[in-house]
Amino acid sequence: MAYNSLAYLVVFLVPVFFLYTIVPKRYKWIVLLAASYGFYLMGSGFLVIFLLITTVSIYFCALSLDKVAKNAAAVRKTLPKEEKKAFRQKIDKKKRRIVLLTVLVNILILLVLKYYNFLGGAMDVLLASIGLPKIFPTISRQIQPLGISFYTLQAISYVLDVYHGKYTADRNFGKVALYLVFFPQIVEGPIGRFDLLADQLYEGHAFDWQRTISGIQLILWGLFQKVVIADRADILVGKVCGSFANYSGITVILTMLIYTLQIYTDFAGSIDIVAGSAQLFGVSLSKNFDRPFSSHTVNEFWRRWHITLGTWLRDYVFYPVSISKPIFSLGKFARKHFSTFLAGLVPAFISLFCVWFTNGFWHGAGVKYILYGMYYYVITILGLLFEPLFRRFFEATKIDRKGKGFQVFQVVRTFFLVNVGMLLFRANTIGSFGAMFVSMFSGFNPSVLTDGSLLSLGLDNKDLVVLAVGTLLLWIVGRLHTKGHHLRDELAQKNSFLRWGLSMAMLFVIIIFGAYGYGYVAINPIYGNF
Amino acid sequence: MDELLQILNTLKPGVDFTKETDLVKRGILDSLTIITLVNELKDEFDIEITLLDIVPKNFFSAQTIYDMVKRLQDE
Amino acid sequence: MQIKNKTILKRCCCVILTLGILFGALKGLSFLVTPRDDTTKAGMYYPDGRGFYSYPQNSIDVFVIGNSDSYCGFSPMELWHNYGFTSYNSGEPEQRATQGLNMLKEILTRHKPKVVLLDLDEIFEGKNTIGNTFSDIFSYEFPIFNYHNRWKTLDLSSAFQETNYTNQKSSIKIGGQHLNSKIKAYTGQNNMKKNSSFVSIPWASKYAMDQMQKLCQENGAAFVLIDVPAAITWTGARHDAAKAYAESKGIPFLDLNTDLDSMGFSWETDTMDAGYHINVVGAAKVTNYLGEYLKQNYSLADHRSDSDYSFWNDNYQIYEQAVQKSSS
Repeated sequence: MAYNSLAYLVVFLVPVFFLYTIVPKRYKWIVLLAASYGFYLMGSGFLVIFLLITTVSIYFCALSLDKVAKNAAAVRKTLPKEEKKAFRQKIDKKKRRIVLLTVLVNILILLVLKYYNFLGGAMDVLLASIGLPKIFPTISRQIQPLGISFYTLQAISYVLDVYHGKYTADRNFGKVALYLVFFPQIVEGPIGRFDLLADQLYEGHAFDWQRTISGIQLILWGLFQKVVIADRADILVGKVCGSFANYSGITVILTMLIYTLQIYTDFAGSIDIVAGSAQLFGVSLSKNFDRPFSSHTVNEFWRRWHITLGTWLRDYVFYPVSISKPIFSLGKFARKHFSTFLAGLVPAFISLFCVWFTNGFWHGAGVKYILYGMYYYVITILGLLFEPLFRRFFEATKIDRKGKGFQVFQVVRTFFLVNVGMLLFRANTIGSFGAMFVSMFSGFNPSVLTDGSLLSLGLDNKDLVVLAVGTLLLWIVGRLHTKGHHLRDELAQKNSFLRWGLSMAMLFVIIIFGAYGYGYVAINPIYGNF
Repeated sequence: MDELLQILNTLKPGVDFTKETDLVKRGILDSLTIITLVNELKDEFDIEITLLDIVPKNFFSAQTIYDMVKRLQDE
Repeated sequence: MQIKNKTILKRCCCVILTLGILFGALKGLSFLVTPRDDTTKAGMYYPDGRGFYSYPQNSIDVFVIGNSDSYCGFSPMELWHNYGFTSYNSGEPEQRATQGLNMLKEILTRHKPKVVLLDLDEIFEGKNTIGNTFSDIFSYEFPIFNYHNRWKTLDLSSAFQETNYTNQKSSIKIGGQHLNSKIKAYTGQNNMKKNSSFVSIPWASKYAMDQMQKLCQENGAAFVLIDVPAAITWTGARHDAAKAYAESKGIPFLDLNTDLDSMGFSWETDTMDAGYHINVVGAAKVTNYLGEYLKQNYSLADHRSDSDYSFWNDNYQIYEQAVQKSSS
């Protein structure tokens, strides 16, 4: 059930909301749990077994980690001081084994279900190169449980947090299960953290009129972004990318920009629908987007785009790798033999590689996606390497890095770099990306802006107007957010007729101007295959 | 404290760490700087810094960093 | 406490009023955008499949519903010429089963069919989902969801006119059949014999077929499941699943893929695109076979000598000329 479908909004969400509202507080979480599993069964059927395996594994892993820690604390008290450190190391090793096993099993499940064809193919290529026969037959249709890329990350974060002692394991199986399966976020996130999410889901929230209205308004805003803008943009992008050889120059540049618009409104719009849905139940999900295109650097962009993935990678890949013993030793070694500057970078290079490789690989089973991650990796380390040079340049030219002019340059530069990355992400193959990228510069054809050829890309002039107006509205809302406005709260203070009128107007804008129905094709959310 | 300030100044020259606070939120210490700092602290003060310690609260200012180092030295 | 009750009352009224206004607005907008004519200009979706609006009411006895397989593979003109039965291809490209159900509802507003045939190629497609089922149910009740794109071309003056179905395009006169004389042989294996894995009919398709059966029963029509020859998309496994469903519901099931020889049908000559769709030659064979089946099992009227139906002979001329022209 797509989040932007009538089925989800009217047939699923409304009854679940009513049920949640009338059920006593103690049992409200059960409504969410049952609805979420129902949602999951409708989407994936018997594949729910994999979600259950993951849920059970992390539940018992966390409990056993706690038990080991508790027993160890009791024993440690009785030990003499000299033996304490050795004992602590033994216990740490035991805990590490438990958590490693759980994490590896879950990653293995993900790898096999989602990445089998890719990894098997890669293995076969390797085998062939040394003269051995292929052993991995390709599966024509891989079975992929709904949201596996997302819930696996959430599961791993739970056990790692318990392992590090951030909080203790939860004895309530239902609570752990709900944390993974909660229907608004199971399909495409945001990737939640147990200590921020589990209690909210469990405690049950009484009906609140303003909160309900606010949730509905957020859903409407999300629908607007997805159904009116993203799905419309997809028609043009699909046409050009499908036969990219026929287009060049400004057409391709425009397509690239419109694709960035599409993926943003598709993903952020879906997240808004999801966040609005959660808000109906009094649950506040972690923010996933924060005006990403106002970023000055590519790194800042990834702190504003798909925020929960970025923080997950930071907390569970970047930090652990960076302060691990091998990296620490490597850093020490580097400090002895290289300049302090380079030595400081060596650990960063390795941990950043891990982060970007994981980021790229997580997005898809293909070399293109790994390349996508590596693209940002290269930009990042080039930035780090040349930092001293840049500093000298700015000192010499007296350009103020904090000045308005330079800031604008940074935003534009980042926007361009991000767009190129998106083009790679969207292109059907690496080859077609290369061809499209080159074609942007090969034929400078400003005439397409006036000769009407832009109207033959799948969208007529009325559609393009809707796209433009929609984008303008998006930009205005973004500016208001930058200025610190909380639009729904401010709207709540105003005349109720105005509020009601605006909401109804938005609803009908979506119904009338949405890119669906006769004349359009239904489109799946881009991040919905994860 | 002096050693700490020296490390901080080498890492991020031009910042007066005796005065500045809210280092993480204001972007003076980003995740890259923090891990370099952490590894330097581990080396210099011979302490074990774990993931639990890498929270914005501990890196609020040079003083809070110093407090964390002292606490870890005692453990 | 008093104030609280007043607020609750106010809010309940607000909700009820909102729902009422929503319902009214959707109905009103639907009224505005519903096409008043069965032409593309009037905004009607896939007029070729809806050409039955142009025919005199209650004059068509046989309908074939399905996707492009059906309107390539069935020829109302051949059926008319050889048997005198009136029929129409009310298929749509890439139709979903629940869209087929909506099509049947549309048909029943204009005609009293004696036999409704559903081509089963569409029921196994992935787009037959629960979500789409609800979309299609809503879309039928509120056509605004299907036709809202008419905002681009809507002429408000026409929005209030009475319906007047004027489409007289030749494609409609020949019964919605898609004519193509090209021959591109299919030489692959026989999918009916291939060992393919078990398939099941999606819930949405079962729902659609159950509803179609019910509608037919209520309207005195016979409901028959068929599958026109489809070399690539139809398999033995699908046949088995369809047969099981048909038997459980007591619906006749005619799988034309199993009887190619008696039809004189050959994948060498009778397909236009290597096994996906049937060409005019193949369609004639399929139709004659179906015609015989209809003659044997249902008491359909032969209207060839009925003066009210003489225009069908004119339509047949158009068909014949078109076929001759394309094959020369």
